[in-house]
Amino acid sequence: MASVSFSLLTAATTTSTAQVQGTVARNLRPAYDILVRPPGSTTPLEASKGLVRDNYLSGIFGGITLQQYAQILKIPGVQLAAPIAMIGYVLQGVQIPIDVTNVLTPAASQVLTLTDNRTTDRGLTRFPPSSIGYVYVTDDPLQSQALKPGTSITVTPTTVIESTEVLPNGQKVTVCPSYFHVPNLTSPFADYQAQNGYCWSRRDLTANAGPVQLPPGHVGGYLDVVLPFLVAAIDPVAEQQLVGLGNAVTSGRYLRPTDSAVAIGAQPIPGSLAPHLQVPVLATTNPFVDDTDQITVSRLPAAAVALLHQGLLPDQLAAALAKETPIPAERVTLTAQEAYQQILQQLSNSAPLVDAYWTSGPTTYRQLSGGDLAPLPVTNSNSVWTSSVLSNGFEAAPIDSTDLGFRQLNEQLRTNTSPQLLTLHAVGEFDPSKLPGFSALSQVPLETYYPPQVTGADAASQKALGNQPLLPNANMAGYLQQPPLILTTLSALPAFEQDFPTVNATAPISVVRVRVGGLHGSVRQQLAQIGQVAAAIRQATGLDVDITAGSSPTTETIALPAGSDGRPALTLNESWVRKAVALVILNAVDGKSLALFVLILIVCGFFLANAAFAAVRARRTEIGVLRCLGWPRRMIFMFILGEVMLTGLVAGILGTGVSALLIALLRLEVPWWRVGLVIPVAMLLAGLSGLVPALLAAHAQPLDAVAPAVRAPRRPHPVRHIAGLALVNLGRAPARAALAAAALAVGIAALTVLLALNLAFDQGVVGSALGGFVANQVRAVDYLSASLAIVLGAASVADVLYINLRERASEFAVLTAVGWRRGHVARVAIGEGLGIGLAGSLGGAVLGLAVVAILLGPDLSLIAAPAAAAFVAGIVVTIVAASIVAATLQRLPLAATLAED
Amino acid sequence: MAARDSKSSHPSRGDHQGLGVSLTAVSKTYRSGVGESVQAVDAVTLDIPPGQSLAITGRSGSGKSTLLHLIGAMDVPDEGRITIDGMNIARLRDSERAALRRRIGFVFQRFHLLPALTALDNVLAPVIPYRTDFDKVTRARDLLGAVGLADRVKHLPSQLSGGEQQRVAIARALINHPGIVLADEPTGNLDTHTGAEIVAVLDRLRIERGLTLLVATHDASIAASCDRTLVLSDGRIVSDSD
Ligand SMILES: Nc1ncnc2c1ncn2[C@@H]1O[C@H](COP(=O)(O)OP(=O)(O)OP(=O)(O)O)[C@@H](O)[C@H]1O
Ligand SMILES: [Mg+2]
Repeated sequence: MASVSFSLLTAATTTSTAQVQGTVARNLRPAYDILVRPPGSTTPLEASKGLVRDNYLSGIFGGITLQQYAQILKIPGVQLAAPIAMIGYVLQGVQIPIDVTNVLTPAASQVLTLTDNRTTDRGLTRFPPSSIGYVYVTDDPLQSQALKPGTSITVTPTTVIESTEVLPNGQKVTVCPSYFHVPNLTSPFADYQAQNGYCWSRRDLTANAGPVQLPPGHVGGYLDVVLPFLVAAIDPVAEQQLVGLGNAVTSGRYLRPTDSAVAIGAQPIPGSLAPHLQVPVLATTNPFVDDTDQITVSRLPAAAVALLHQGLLPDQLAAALAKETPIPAERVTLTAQEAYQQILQQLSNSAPLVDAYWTSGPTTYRQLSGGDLAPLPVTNSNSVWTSSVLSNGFEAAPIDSTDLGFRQLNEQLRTNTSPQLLTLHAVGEFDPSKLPGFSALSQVPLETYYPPQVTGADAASQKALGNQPLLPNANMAGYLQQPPLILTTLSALPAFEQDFPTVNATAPISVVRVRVGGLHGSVRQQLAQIGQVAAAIRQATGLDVDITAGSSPTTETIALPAGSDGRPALTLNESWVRKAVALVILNAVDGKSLALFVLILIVCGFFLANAAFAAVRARRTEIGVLRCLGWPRRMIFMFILGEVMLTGLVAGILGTGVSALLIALLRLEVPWWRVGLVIPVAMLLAGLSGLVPALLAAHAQPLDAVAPAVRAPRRPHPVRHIAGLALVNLGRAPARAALAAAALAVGIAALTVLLALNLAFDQGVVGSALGGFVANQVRAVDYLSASLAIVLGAASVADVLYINLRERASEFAVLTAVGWRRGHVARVAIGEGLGIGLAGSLGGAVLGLAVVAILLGPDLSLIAAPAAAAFVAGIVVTIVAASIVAATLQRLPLAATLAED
Repeated sequence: MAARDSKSSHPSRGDHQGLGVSLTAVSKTYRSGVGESVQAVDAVTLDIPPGQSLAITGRSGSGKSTLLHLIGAMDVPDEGRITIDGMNIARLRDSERAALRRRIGFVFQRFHLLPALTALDNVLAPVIPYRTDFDKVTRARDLLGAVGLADRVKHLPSQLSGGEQQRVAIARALINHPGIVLADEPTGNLDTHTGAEIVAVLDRLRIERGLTLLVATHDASIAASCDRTLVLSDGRIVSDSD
C-alpha cells in the first residue's frame, strides 16, 4: 500500500509538474518579450509590485531617440523592435444633419429648437442639456445675404449676417441673424451654438444646405460632433511582424514605410482647402468611445415666429427663444460610433485641418489601505483649449472635458509661421478585432489597438455599468485613455515637427516593444536569454526595460472617484501585467514537488517501519522460541530483516503493477524508470525500517520474547468507566501506541505541511491569470497527496489498533461474556483509537507547524488553518479506522476466543 | 457514558432466587477442517431446577465446556432449545443477550481476569458500563471479602496466585446478583487443596444466595459435593444421578 501510494504520488507529482511546465512554456511568450520605455516612466508603484500598468502608453509622448532605437536594433538577440511614437490627440468634427421634416405642422411659419443631451460612461454621466440652435421654416420666400452675388461686407466684431424674409403682406423682415465672427467666449464650453439658426423657405428647400445634405425636400439643422483621436506613428514593417497589423486592414491599404506627408498644392476647385500637408494614416474602424447624443426636437409656440421677425441680434434672439416653452416632438439618438463613421469618410476624403493637438499626462495613484488604487483628480484650465485659428478663441472642446479629469492636458498649438497646414488622410482602415488573439494567460497590454480592460469590481459597480466594461470617452483627461485610433508612419513625423515646433523632435518614440530571437532550451534558459537581451538594452540605452515574457495579466482594483456629472464612484478591475510570473511559478512548483517527494518518502517509510515493528512484535513468541532453540542473534537479525525486505519486494512489485495500471488508466506522463524505481525504493525503505525491530528482536532475551506482548501496567489506576479502560489498555503497550501515534503524527504533519505549502503556493502564484490557471492545474495532485497522507496515517493507526485488539481478543470476549453489550466493547476499541488519534493528530499538527514555520516563516495566517484542518482530519480518520477495527471485534466467536487463550 | 445504558433491568439486591435451566434435545456440532465434524453436544435434554448444584463430569473432550457455553449464551446450539427462567435464549437481541448474561455468572478454567485491572476493578468490570441500584465498589469489596481476598483488593492479577485469581473470578461472577453460576473447571488449574477451597467458597455462596450452580469438573470430590452429577460422553448424557 505504501509503495503504491509512493509510486502513484511520485507519478502524479511529476505529471503535474510537467503539466505546469508545459503550461508555463506555452504561455511564456506574449506578443513581445521586452517593453522599453523612456527613462523614469516606470512608476514607483510598478517598480515595487513588479507590475506593468494597463495604460502604460498613456502619458508617454516621446522620450526615446531614434538613435536609441537604432541601438536597440543592433543588440544581438533582438529579432524585432517595434516602436510607437505617440503624437497626441487631434479633434475631428463632423456635422450630423438632424432631419425635422416629420415634425413640421401645417402652420405657415414655425420655429423648432434642437437640444443635445450627451451621456457617457454607460449612461452614468449625463451632461447638462445644451441648445444646438433653432430651425425656422416658413412659406415665405427667404433670401440669404451670403448668397447675394457681388456683395462685399466690411467685417467688424459685431457684423451680423442675416436672411431676408418677404412676409405675405410684402413687408421685408430680417431673420436668422448670425455674427460673422462668433464673439470671443469666456469658456470653450459656453452655449454659443444656441445662436445657430437654420432657416428654410418651403418655396426653395435647398436654400440653407449644410455640409452633409439633407435629402431633397427635407428640412432640419445640424449637430456638430467633435471627438478626440489619438494619433501615433509606427513602423509598418515592425508592426506587421509583431502583430500582423496589415492583416487587420479592412479597406484601403496598409501603411508603407515610405508613406510620409504629401504636399498638396492649391486646388482649382473653389471651396477646397488651401495648400496643405497631407499625412497618410491608417484609421481604426472602432473608436472604442462610449458617448451618446440624444437630440430633442421641440416645437416653440407661435409667438416665437414673432420674436424671429423682430430683427434681434443673434445672442438676443437666442436668449428670447430660450424663454419660450418648448414642446418636445421628436428624439434622435446618435452614438459616437455612428458619428465616427462619418468622420472616417471625411478622413478618406478631405479632412479638416489640424491646427492643434494635445498630449495627456499619466495618472498618478494613491494606494488605499486595502490595496486599491485611487487615481488622483487633476484640473485642467480652460486655456488648454485655446485656439490660434478659430475666431472665438477656443477649440471646439467636447463637453466631456468638463467632467472630472485624471490627466494633465498639454496643448500643442500650430505656429502661425509654418507655411503649410496639416490634414490627415486615411489610406486605409483596420479592424482591431481582426488582430490575432494572444493567450489570455500571457496577454500583455496591447493598447496600440485595444482600449484598457476595465470592469466593475463589486456588485454595485457592475450593476451601475450594466455588466459592461467601462470605455474611454471624449474626455482626453479621463481615467481611461483610448488606444491610438489613427496610425501613421515614423516617416510622417517631420510634418508634425514642422508644423508644431513644440513636438519632441529629438526623441519622438514613446515605447519600443522587443521580441527576442534564437531562443532555445528550457523555460528558465529562454527567460535567461531574454533577460540578457533586456540587460543589454538597458546598458546600451539607459532606458527603462521591463521583461514581459513570462508575465501574466493580473487584476488591480481601481477606486474611481465620482464624476462631476452624475457618475457614482466606481470600484473597477483593471487588467495589469505581473512580470516574472513564469519564474515564480516554476520555482514554486519545483519547490513544492521536492517537498512533496520528501514528505511522501517520510510518510511511506514510517508506514513501513510501523508495519515491520508490528510484524516483529507479533512474532515475539516465535522469535523467542528460535532463541531458546539456540539460533544465534545474527541469524535472527538476518531472518527478520530478510523477511521485512521480502515484504518490501512484494509490496514494491505490487505497487509497480498497480501504479502502471493507474498511470495507464489516468494517462499520467511518467518516465518508466521512475516507476521501476519503486521496487528498489520499497525494498530499501522496508530494510531501513526493519533494521530497528530486527535489532531489537535479535537482542531480546529469550524469555522476554516469550513473555506476552501485552503487559500489565506497573502502577494500576482505578478503572470505573469505558474511557478509563481504553486509556489503561493504551498504557499496556505504550511503545506500540506511541509508534502508531507517531505514524499518524507524521501523516498529519505531512498533511499540515502540504496544506500550508499549497496555501503558500497559491498565494505566491495567484494574482495573475497564469498563476490561477496553474494553481488549478496542480489542485488534483494536492488533493491526492493530502488524502494519501491521511490514509497512510490512518492505516498505521488501524494496523496497530487491529494487532492490539487481536491480541486482547479474549479480554473483549470476557467482557462480552460478563454482560457487556457489543456497543460497549466497540467503545473501548474506538476510545483506544481516539487516544492514538488525539495524540498523533496533536503531535502531527505541532510538528507540521514547526516544519512550516521553518520552511515558510512563522506566518500564522498561513499556518493555523492547515494545522487545524490536518488535526481535525486526523481525528476523524482515526475514529473511522477504529470503528472499522471495532466492527471486526463484533464478529468474535466468544466460546472459541475464550478457549483459544 | 455508562449511565445512559442503565435502563436495562437489573436484579435487585434482594433477588437471591436461583434460575431454572431447561435443555431440550440440544445438539452442537463443530466442523473442523475438511469435512471432519465433531458432535460436541448430542441431543442433550436436561432440566435443572432453581437452586440446584449440578456437577458435569466426563472425559476430556466429552462436551462439558460446550454445554456450559451453550447455556451461557456464548455459543448457539445447532438444534434444540435452551430456556433459562423460562426464557428461550436462542432469539435474543444484543441488549437482551447482554442482560441475560448479567443474570449468569461465569467462572472460567483459565480465570480470564483483565490483566490491566486490579482485583477490585476486575470484580467491577461487568458493571462498568451500567448504572446499578447498589453501590458497585462497596459490593465488590464485600464480594472480595466473601471470597477471602479483603487484603488483595489493589493487587493486579499478575500479583495473585492461581487460587486467588480464581476467587477474584468468582467474585466477578457474583457482582450482578446472578441467579445461576456456570463454572468451567474452576479448579482445573489449581492444586487439590486450593481447588477444594474454591469449591467450598462456591458452595457456600450458592447456599447463601440460593443460586443455581453448574460446575464442569474432573474432580470426583467436587462432584460428590453437588446435589446432582451428570456424566457426559461424546456429547451425550450417559449418567444422571438425579
Ligand atoms: N471451537 C471448536 N472447534 C472445533 N471443535 C471444537 C471446538 N470446541 C470444542 N471442540 C470439540 O468439541 C468436543 C467437545 O469439547 P469440549 O471443550 O466441550 O470438551 P470438554 O469436555 O470441555 O473437554 P476438557 O475436559 O478437555 O475441557 C471436543 O472434541 C473438541 O475437540
Ligand atoms: Mg472443557
